[in-house]
Amino acid sequence: MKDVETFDKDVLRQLISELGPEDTAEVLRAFLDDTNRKIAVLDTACPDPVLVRQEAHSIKSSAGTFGFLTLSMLASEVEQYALCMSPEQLKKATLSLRKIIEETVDFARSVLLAANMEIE
Amino acid sequence: MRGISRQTENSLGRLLVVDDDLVQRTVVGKIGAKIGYDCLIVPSLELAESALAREAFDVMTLDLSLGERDGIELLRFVADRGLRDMSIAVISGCDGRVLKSTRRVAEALGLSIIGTLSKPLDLDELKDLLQSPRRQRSSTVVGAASVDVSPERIAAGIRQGEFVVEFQPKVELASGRVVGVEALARWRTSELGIVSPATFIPVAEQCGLMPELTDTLLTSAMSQGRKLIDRYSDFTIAVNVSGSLLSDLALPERIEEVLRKEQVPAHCLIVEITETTAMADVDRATDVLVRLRLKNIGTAIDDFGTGYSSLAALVKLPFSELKIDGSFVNGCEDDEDMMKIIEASVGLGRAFNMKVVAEGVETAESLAALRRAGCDIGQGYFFSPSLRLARAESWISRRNEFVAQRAAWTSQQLPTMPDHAAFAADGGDRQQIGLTQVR
Repeated sequence: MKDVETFDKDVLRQLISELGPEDTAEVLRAFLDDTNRKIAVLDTACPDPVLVRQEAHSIKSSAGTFGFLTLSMLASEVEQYALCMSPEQLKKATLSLRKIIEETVDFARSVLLAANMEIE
Repeated sequence: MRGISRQTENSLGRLLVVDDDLVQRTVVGKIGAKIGYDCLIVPSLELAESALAREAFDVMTLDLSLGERDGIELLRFVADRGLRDMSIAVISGCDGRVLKSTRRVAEALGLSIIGTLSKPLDLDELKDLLQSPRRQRSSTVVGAASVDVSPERIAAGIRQGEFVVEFQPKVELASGRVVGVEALARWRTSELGIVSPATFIPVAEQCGLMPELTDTLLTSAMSQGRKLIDRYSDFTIAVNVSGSLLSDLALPERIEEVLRKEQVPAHCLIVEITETTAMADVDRATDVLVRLRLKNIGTAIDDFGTGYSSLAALVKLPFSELKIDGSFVNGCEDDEDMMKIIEASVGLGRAFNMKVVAEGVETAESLAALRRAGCDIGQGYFFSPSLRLARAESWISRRNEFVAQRAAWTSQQLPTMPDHAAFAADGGDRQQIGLTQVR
């Protein structure tokens, strides 16, 4: 795993260069709020597979826009498998997603700090 | 509903952004404003309809999936109101076939579609597309076959390094691993935007620019792709070579020279012969292909199934790979006749000891059918579109990592998995899945 990129930093850099740090921070904040809201919805004892699939689809696409590769690909896998997973598997998948999202938040924060922007 | 004002002196007009994805609509709106549009951003079909009923827009970007409703309904609304002058850019996370069909629907409705974008959005493509109405809507990324390009302009483009390659991953269906890429030609110009190969290849063929263009693309593919070759064992890079060039007996040496300069082992290159109908002299072509094989370079017959001479070419010429044309792959699962062609192609491939590659794989259903038919390798939007090197590298390393180490939640048996489910995308090697945690 060591050599694998978790984030395509060029994508985020390009976003910052196109939008400027303030606007990028605004979009990132919106993304993180939105994603956390989605995860909170999914984080129940018995997640609804259809809902998991729908939310994973949306996380996949937004994460891709920022170059958050691991998150995007994990969300994509969850999207593909959601309808045939047991509640236990769904729970695990949601947990994995949440863990990656936390890492992503840390990364996003560090990028924005480097650009002198606060994320929260 | 939210407005963003343009950030330049010159207005390009009004842009309506319709998208239920918060992040994406904000990015599109902000990029639009940077370029010079006055933007209105709406998150739903209902709000889009009311905005369109009230105000005039020059351009609209539309995400096809709008929650419960879909973008096609909005296209119909636009057509009903006679807004045929508004330029429309369609965005979708669905496969390329959905985008293509949507384009056809919109064109049948008489709407002005300036292009289609897949997700995740490539900002350069988005910018190009939003700027294209100013360039008379003629020349953006997809389906722009009508741009006039002169041989002189192509020659200048070659000299100025405007021709570049992008890489489309090829996935081994049995394992799910990425085993190679096809290098695809892209021409980025300042005045015409991105010009489609469908436009410039025929011109280059007609005016004798193919040798020069092929050398440029081969060199670029090898020098960029070496990173992938170094990283993955037995990784191959495929480069397209027109059948018309096979009359040049010096071709194998020229190719070998590029490999030597770029320090790429011969077995990592696959020369894909396109336009086999353009082979003027089969004896010379055989000579060239045999020598490529003797040098350990792979050879593939491209677009197999199209063009009447394919079968003759296949029998006579020493190909190591057969690529089934995407037109037989799209929707093959619902078409018995197409399946028969695929099965026959696989049989021919086996009989002639060739790897069989299915091009244009766009859905999980097609993929499952291709695996059942015994295809070795798949390539297409279902896996990935063509990507620039950095993104291709990331994509491939992610993909191969996922294949090697399945996440914990797929490690258990999934007995209820329907046959057509997306497992097929990953090669169905469930038994190999470890309990490794995803980082």
